[in-house]
Amino acid sequence: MRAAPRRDGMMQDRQAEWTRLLRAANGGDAEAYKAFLHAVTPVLRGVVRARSAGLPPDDCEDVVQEVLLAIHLKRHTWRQDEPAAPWCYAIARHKVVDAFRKRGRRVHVPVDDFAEILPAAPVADPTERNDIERVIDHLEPRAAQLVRAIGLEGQSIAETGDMLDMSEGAVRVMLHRSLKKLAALRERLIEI
Amino acid sequence: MKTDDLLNMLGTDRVAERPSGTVLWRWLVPAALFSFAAMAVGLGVRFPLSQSLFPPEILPKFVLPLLLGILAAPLAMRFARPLARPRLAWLWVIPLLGLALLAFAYITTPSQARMMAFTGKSIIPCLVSIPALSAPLLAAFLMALRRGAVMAPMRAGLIAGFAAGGLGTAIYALHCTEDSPLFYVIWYGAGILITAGAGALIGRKLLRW
Repeated sequence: MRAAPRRDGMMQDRQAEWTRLLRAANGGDAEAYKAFLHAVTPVLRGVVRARSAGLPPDDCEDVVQEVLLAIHLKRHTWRQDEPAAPWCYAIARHKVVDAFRKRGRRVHVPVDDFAEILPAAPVADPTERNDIERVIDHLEPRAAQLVRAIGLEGQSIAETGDMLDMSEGAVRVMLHRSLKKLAALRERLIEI
Repeated sequence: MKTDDLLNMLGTDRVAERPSGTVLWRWLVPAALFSFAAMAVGLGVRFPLSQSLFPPEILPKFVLPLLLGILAAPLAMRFARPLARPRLAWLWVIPLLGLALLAFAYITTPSQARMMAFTGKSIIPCLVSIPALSAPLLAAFLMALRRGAVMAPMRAGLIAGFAAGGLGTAIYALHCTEDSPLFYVIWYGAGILITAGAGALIGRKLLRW
């Protein structure tokens, strides 16, 4: 359980930083939330690759995306008075095991992995991933259009609202529902 | 989609789900009213309650399961959060009280009357009604838990089953005419165990995510 002192210190920094970011995010700070997601990703990527059981790196990125979606959709199960990192590890570990299981691989992911495996080196997000786009095709047409506009073309809520002739509030609600739908569809559709 | 694009999209979604505990109330209250109405209309409340429920030797058949429900409900909901550590040991209080009551009734019931008190007249109705009246409540707990991030689906379902079974049994007790602890500790207990077992089995499937 106890890691080397230096790593302990590093871990405590990470703990404090993630908790601070997630608290700010819950308080309505969108930039803090993005920073939180960007801080989590390389750690997650490192664990997924280390435990990939022979899955090619590109497919690993699909798993990473799946876990990130889960962290996003389950963020209401974290409470302000809890540390964010262990919460994140618990969600991630559960989803990593699940994602590999769906791909026919049984992996064991000790929770210590998240503390001990080094984050993947920051690469310039090399490849386009297909899984999520295949799933987007299964959304109803309007929702698919909306997710493509925001996710793939990087349009803002307002721009998307103009394009689809919807109010910003309606776009926000439909985005959230579509993300939930994506997560549920992935459960069913991804069989590799 | 690149991971950076995904992160930007996730960052754009500012809609937050409500905690499972909040969601629970929205489902549990209608479910309890429904079960109560089903009992009142389908089975009938045993009036007057001053005679059928409030005497001290009868009251536990209502209070003990109710207490189980009240204790187990918040414990069940804790399973919705990955970092919560439910203290399940508290739940043992109820079966221990039940067993004490059972022992007390065994001693104070004349030996020739024990068997009759134990078998009563309504074992089957009791074993059917308790899980049936608990089912809507169990559904409410499981629906609320589904919104969370359950790490131990089977155990979460089990504790949800105890909560629903306790509350459902308290509703059933308003109808039931069996007044000996030799009957109700055993058969109510069995009804609650059936509900809890169902909760565990359904939870194992339903609470995966």
